[in-house]
Amino acid sequence: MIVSIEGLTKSYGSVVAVDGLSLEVEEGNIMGLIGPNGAGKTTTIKVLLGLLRPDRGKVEVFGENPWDNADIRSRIGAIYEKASFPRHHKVLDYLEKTCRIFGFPESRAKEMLEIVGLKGVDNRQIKGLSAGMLQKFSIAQALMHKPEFVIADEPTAHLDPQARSDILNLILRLHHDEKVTFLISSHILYELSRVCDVATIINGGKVWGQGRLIELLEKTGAGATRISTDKPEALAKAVEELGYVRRLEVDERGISVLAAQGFREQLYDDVLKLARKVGANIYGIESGTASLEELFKVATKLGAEGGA
Amino acid sequence: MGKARTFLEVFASALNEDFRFPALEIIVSIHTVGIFIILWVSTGSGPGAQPGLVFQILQRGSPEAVKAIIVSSLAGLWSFVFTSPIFGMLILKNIAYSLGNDLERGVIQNVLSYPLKRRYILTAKLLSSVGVVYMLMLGIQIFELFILVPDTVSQNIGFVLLTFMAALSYPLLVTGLVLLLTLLFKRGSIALFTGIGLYFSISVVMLLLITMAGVTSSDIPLKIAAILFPGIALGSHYQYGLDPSISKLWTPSFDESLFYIGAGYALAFFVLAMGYLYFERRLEI
Repeated sequence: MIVSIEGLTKSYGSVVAVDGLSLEVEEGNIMGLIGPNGAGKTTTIKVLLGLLRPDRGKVEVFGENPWDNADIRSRIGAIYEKASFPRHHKVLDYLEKTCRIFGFPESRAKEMLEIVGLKGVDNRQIKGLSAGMLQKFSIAQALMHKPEFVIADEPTAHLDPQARSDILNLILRLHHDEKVTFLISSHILYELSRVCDVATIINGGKVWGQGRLIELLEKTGAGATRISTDKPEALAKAVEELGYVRRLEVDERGISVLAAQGFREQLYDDVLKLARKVGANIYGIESGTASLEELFKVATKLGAEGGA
Repeated sequence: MGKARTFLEVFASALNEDFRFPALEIIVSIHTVGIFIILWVSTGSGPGAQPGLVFQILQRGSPEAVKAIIVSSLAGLWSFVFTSPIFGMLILKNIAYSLGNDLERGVIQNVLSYPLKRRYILTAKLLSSVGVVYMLMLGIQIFELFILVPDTVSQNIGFVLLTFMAALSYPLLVTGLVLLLTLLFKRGSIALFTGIGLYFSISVVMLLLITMAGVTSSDIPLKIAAILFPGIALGSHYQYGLDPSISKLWTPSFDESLFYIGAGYALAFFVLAMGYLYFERRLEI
């Protein structure tokens, strides 16, 4: 276990940013931290990085309290949403400095600039970088020392679509080749769905849902298949008999069916067969996607209704 | 070795930022060197020049007068009058503005991702922002004295250093207070303006205390002032630097003077220690 949080509570004055949050990140995972603005994502990340001290709860990274133990930082890479560096340093100079701090050869600085797609800006001052370039620079700096665990707060913020894709591919490659564990917060949810194994949804400082994505989808009903028909009641009765149906909702225009993992294709075939059998006309089948955005909408709705 | 290297890298980075655009530093240096040149000329150098005040005193003065000059660092004191505020502003700029802006913009949170304890990070920043300024100021002052009165300074180096010590606890105290303000505000501009206000208001407090001593004929205000400005105790001991009507109210012994110098530093280091503790244990970013 790389990260273990139990009952984390953190307030800013009278505002409770994180309220009894518990979270675990296992080695080798890419965990997504999902939530709207003000959900408590950045506060949680700052606590993990030792920048904030919890009011209550137990927080451990690599088995140590991050507030008290500076040594664990050599094993962690930190990517901040709003990265800021000494403005007047030159790009390559600063990264070489980072190399020296962490005991890596200075040649790694150029290597990292190439990896993140920042070739040709070696001698530019940091203040001369665009927002997107600065984000890439921040990622280069965070990965410079080959950390075992990377905490990234909105890592693709300020990047253009191509750069976003490059960074996500980089995350996947580091995860696959170098077994780097990631904790990534983002509100660009479709991006998280590309890279995350597991996710924690937080809202209002509390955990709404946690686990493997598919399990979260089943729990929320996000990803359900929508079938428009003229005989929803009859079709629902027939579909209900299918063993892999996890959730079924009926309204006057059709049904929404959540199938178990791996049964979605079969659901299409079975629904068509059953529709013929009960004499229902099918006007459309809208495939549910495994989108975190959809998941998040449901989660937020359920959370607002007290479904958490 | 790893931690030492990290410390030095953070220190070098702070130096790079604090002294990257040395306009203020250049002004300070030119100003101080200018005063030095004026003093040097006024001491009678050059063909046909009339001996200046310092030179006359040194030539005709008794050993006690010479000692008084040395102890009060007359040559240095003149430039202190002009340069102290400028050096003070330099320290304020480096601590309040630089550190405050680093806190405000998030540079510090990046530095805190290095595997180095917080107190070492703050030490590196303070060495850059304050240590270097102190060395610059002391270097110029001592150089000035050595050039003007080399033999006398060599023979009384202990007194010279003691005088400087007495003079420098005050800026150290202001440094500690400004550091605390900067850490509390986490805003460079607010900390800078508050620090400037603080710097001058403490000076005003000193003047008020001295005035109060004169009006009430009591030595208590002088003793309080001597904790903030230990130079007052040393000056009173040598009967130099204060109005005679004031200094006759209180003539501390040499050991008492040392006590007030110690108290001044104890107060300054206490405030600095509070800043360190706050940065280490309380500061959240």
